[in-house]
Amino acid sequence: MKKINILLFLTIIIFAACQNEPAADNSVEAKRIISLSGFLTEVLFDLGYGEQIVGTDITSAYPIETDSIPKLGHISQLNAEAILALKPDYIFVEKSQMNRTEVFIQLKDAGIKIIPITTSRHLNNAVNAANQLKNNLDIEEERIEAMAKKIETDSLKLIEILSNTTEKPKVLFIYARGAGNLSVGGTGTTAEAIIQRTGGQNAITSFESFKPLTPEALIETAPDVILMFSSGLASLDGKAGLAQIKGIPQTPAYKNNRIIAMDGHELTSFGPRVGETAIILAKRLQE
Amino acid sequence: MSIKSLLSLPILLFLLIISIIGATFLGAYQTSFAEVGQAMVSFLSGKNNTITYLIFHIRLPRILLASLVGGGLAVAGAAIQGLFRNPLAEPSLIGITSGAMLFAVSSIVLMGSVLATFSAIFQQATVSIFAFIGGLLTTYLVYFLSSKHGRTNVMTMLLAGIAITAFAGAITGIFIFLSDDQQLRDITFWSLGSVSSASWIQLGITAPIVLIGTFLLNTHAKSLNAILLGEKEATYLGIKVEKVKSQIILITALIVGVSIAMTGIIGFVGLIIPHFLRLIFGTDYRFLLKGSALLGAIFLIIADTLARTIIAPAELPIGILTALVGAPFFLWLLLQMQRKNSEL
Repeated sequence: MKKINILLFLTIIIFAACQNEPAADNSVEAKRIISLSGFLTEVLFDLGYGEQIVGTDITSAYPIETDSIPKLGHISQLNAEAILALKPDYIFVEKSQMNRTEVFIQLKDAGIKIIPITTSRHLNNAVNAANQLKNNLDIEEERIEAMAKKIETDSLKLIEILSNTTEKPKVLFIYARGAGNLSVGGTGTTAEAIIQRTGGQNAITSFESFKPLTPEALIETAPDVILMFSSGLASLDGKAGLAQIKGIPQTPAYKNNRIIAMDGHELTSFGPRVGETAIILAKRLQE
Repeated sequence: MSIKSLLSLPILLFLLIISIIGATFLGAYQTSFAEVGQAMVSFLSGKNNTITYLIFHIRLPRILLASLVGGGLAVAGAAIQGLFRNPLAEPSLIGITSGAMLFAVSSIVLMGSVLATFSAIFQQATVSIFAFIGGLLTTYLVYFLSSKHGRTNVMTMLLAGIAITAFAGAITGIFIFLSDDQQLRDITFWSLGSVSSASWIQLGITAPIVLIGTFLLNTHAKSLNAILLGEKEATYLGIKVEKVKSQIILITALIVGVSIAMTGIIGFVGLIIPHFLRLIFGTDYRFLLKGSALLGAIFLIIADTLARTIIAPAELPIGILTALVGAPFFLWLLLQMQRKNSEL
C-alpha cells in the first residue's frame, strides 16, 4: 500500500512538472522574429527587439546592425523552406505588401504566425505599428511612449517651421537608377506624401504613381525644387551628371541650385525618425 | 534504335529517380536521413510537424513539378524540332511563350484595377489561367494563319510565329509601361520562372497533361523519323503528315501551356536538352523523345535544387540557372564534338 502511495505521489509530481515546465520556459524565452520590411525592422530595433530578428527582407538596411542578419531577398521572391529553417516564431510584414500569397499560405500551413501590420503615411506611423506589434511581443510601454514623445516633439517643431513660411515650392521627385532609367513621382506616391507634409507641393498633378521622365514635361512643370534619393543622385554621378539630362538645366530648380538629395529609406518609410527627416526637408525647402 | 541509346534509357530513368531522392534530402532546412524517415512515418500516420510539412508540402511538390515541367518542355522541344526540321526551333517559335507572356502580364497589370475585387488566391490562379489560355490562343492563331485547304505550311507557320511573337511582345511592352513598381517586379520574376509555389493541386493539373502528352508524342516517333526525310517523302512512306502535324502542335501547346502557367517562363530546356542527346546519340525520335523527357526532368530538378540552396536563405529564379548552368556545358559539348569530327 505504501509503495502504491509513493508511486502515485511520484506520478503526480512528474505530471505537474511536465505541465509547468513549458509554460515557464515560454515567458522567458526570446522570440525568433523575421521582419519583411525595412520600416518594421527599424521599428523593431527602436523598441529593443533587434537582437531577436533572425531574418529580414532586402530593404532592411537601417540600422547598421541589420548587415549581419540573414537577408531573405525581396518580398516577391521568398524561399519558404529557408524561412522555415530559421525557425521563426513570428513573421512581421506590411499588410500592403502581402501581394504574393502562395508563400504566405505555405508558411501559415507550416504553423508559423504571420502578422500583417497596417501602415500609413502619417508621422505617427511608427507608433501605430509599435502598438500593433504589442499584440504579439511584450514591448515595454515606456519604449513606445518614448517613440511617440520624440515624434510629437518633432511634429511640433515642424508645425512651427511651417507656420513661418509663405512659399509653397513645387517639388519634383525624380527616382533614378542610372541615367537611362529616370522616373518622376506622380500623385499618391510616398514621395508626394512627405513633400506635402513638409510644406511643398508635388510638381506633378496630372498622373498617379511613377512615369518615365521626359524633357518636355520637365520644362512644362517647371519645378522650384528637385528632390532625389542620395543613391539616385549618385547613380547619375552627382549634380554634374544630372545636368547632362535634357531639360534639367532649364528648370528653375537647377538654375537656383535647389537640388535636394536624401536617404531613400529615411525619406519614404515614415519610420521612427520621420520627424527629424521632415524637419530637415522642411528647412531645406525654404532655403 | 542503336544499342547505345537503348541502354541509356534505363540509365536516365535511374538517374531521374536518384535525383528526385537526392533533392528530397537537400535544402536550406538541414534534414538528416533519420528526420526524413520520421517525417515519412508521421506523414503516413496523419500527424503533422514542421519537417513533415516541409518535405511533403514544400520540397516534394517542388521537385515533382520541376521534373514534370522539365520533362514536358524538353519533349515538346524535341517534337517541334522534328516537325520543323529546324534545329533552332523550340516551342516559343509557334507563339506559345509570347502569347502566355502577354496574357499573364496583362492579368498582372489589370489585377490592380479590374480584378482587384477578387480574392488574393483567385488572383494568383488568374495569372496561371490567363497564361494557359494565351498560349493556346496564339498557337491556334499561328496554326490557323499557316493552314490552307487542310494543309499546313511549315515555313509559313515559322514566319507567322515570328510575326505574332513580335506583335505580342509589343503589346506586352505597353502593359509593362503601364505597370507600377510592384507589378513590374512580379512580371520580372514571372518571366524568369520559379517552381517555388508548387502545390499538390498544381501537380494534379500538370501531371495528367504532361504524362499523357508525352505518351502521345511518343506514338508519333516513327512519323517524325519519316518527316526527317521531307514531308513529301514521309507521305510516300504512308505517314498521314497533316494529321501528325496538327496533333503534335496541339499536344505541344497543351504541355508547354500548362508548364508556363504553373512556373512562368523557363527558357533553354526545350532547346538544349534534345540537342544534347542528339549530339551524343544521333537523331532517332524513338529514342530522342523518351530521352528528352527523362533528361529534361533531371536537368530541371538539379537547376531547382541549386536555385533554392546556393544563395539561401534567399532564392534565385530558376530561369537564370537553366541558362547559367546549361549554356557553358552545352558549348563545351559542342566544342568536344567538333574536335572529334575534325579528327575523323
